[in-house]
Amino acid sequence: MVIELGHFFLIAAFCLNLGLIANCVVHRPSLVGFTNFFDRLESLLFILLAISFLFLIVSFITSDFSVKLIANNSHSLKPLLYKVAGAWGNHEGSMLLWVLIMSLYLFLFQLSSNNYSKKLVNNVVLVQLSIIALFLCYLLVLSNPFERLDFPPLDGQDLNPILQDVLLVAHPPVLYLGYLGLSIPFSLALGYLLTNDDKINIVRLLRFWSLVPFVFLTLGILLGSIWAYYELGWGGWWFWDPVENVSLLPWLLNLSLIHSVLILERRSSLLNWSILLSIMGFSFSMIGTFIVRSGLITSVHAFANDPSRGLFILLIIFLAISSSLLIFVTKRSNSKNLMKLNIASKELWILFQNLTLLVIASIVFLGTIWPFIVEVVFSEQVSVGEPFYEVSLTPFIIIFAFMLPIASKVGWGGKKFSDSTKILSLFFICLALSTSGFTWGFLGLLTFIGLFLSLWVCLGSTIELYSSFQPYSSIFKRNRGSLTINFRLMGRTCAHFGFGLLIFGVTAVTSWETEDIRHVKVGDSFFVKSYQIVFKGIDYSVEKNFKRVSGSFEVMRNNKSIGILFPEKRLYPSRNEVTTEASIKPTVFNDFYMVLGNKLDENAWVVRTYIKPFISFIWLGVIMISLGAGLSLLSFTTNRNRSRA
Amino acid sequence: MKYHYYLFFTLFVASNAFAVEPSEFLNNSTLENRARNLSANIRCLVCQNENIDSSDSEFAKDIRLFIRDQLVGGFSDEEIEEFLVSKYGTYILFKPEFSRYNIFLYLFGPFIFIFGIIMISFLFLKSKKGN
Repeated sequence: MVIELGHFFLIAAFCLNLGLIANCVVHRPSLVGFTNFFDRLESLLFILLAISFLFLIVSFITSDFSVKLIANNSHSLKPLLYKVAGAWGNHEGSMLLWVLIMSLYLFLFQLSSNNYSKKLVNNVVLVQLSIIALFLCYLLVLSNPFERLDFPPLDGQDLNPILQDVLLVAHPPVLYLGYLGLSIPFSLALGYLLTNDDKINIVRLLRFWSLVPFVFLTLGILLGSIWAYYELGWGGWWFWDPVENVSLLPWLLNLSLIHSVLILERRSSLLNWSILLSIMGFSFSMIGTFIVRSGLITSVHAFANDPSRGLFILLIIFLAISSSLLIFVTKRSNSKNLMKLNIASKELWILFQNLTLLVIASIVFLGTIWPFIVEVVFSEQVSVGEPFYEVSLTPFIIIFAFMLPIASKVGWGGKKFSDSTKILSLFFICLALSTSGFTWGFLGLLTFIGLFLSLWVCLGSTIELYSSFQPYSSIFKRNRGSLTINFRLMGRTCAHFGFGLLIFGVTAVTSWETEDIRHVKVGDSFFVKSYQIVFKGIDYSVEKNFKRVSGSFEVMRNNKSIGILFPEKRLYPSRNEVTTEASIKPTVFNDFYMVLGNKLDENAWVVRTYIKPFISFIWLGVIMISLGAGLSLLSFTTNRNRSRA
Repeated sequence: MKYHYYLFFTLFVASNAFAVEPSEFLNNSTLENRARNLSANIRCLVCQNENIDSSDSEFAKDIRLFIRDQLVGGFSDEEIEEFLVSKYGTYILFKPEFSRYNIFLYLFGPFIFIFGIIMISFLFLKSKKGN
């Protein structure tokens, strides 16, 4: 019964959606101020979808195996948390979540849109509703999560065991909050093109709604990355896998949008460019979903794919992207608003930044679809993997990082480098510091460059924050007599500093990682660098839905214990799958990472130990990038009065 | 897709083999290092997207042992890669060779970059004229 109710609410949401679209189309812009009955119903759309999704979760919790989706993806013995997460750990459920979050954003946009032109808002809502309608239609016709089975099985087939993990419970919803947050800039861009109304506020709206998805997209990618780090068992945190690449593409475009909007705000030029970036950002969110779902490109974690439906999704995406590009080409503004570009003007440097990001994105995109192109055009098979991306992306990442502190420092419309001595001295300080690092052992030029760049970016943004404590552009600004915090400056420097930390973490892990693979007998001890590791024992146990073998290893230094690690192997009988669970002991500067391998004889095992220096800096850096965007969002709470005046 | 049946295959074989193991290591550490570096670029053909070092499949293990045999036999890295490509096709290398159509893949990024620089300098000159 519950499942039929869920289905009913989904159909009701679709009907309401069509009604709302019709309402948007006939909405007369001359009736500004006229509160239509339908104006309030966008929230109802969200509520209907939320109820529908809730019913799906309830069915997962009660393990109703007469539902096809649940029979295929759940198991009665699975822990409660993973039963709930099962609702989005598969194709149909995650598509329902997709639509739900999209309607959530529509609802939030409506809530915050009171101050803007009714005509514009009406068109933005129309665009957003149309995309929701396309996906709802797909959901109902081709990928119905509420489908029943004629002959329900006794028990389910279980969720893929490596997905049964706390981080992966949160990963899809957070990532979707990012992907689908980009639908608002997309709808804003198209809505604006269709009306050409409210040019002043479109900038503000674009800035706000490009920062919101960035916070979540960054966090979502981070969660996936940390999960891969401890779950896939060899301590990598980024594999240049197609699925990871397609999440990086909207992120890169979103990042360029955030910066190009800054020019738009100051100089009211680059409007077309920002609009194009908004359109492309969400387009790549959709293309990413298509690539993951369709099985078009093989990937190590294509967990929720189904090739047969690929064509329909391709059709949706083709329709959405081609029509939006058509609108862009025909309706884009023709005003030739020339920027004043000087060598020392922020405009020019942001343009360069946009260019490098675009180049990085296009390399990642082409590399991801290249095997597919080659197969279709030349009927041959190629692989494009990590070594390719390392070679072709590194130069552009170096250029990008090198430009960052300069771009952040120079002023708007600046003619000369007013702070050239400061920038130069910072450059030489960083150079000296990273050269001095040679004394404690470098592995090569790239390590040196990485170290230099991380110092350059981190110190650059620290100095920027510090020098703003001067009276004129203080971090605390006087605004109508009351002190307010300059959140934009804080957000910017926080995100840039985070990027510097990220470079440092990546450099450190790739250069100074220690790997040790060996046979160890129970009771023996061995040395990895200056750390002594004692193999204390092996333990077998049976859990609710899996069996476990775990080793216990004590890490010691100078006879002082640092911690005990329990790497384990698990057998999931419901799927007959073996997974390895790495055990990680993070300390301030190093992560100890151990994996239990095969059993050789009665008490000897293959044991892999990694010491990963500064890997926590990668996580910390990415968190700061996300936090930076969040801080910038806070600026909207403080300067609302000013911009309305 | 056709790799699904490979995936099926690996699921059942997986428990017999494991990622690179000490028993496979060569005593000569220079050769062993070369073997590890080579492995990073070689795809496990029966897996989804893993190199042979991290893969648990029998196939990966065979290739790992093969590489070490060849290294001990005195072959160069390029010769070993060439041999693998002639036997399994270019699909086995994670980094496509810089030849034929792959040149487009490698030059696409730099091309966009140069094109963008030209566009920006065009804007730059135009704005100077405007002044």
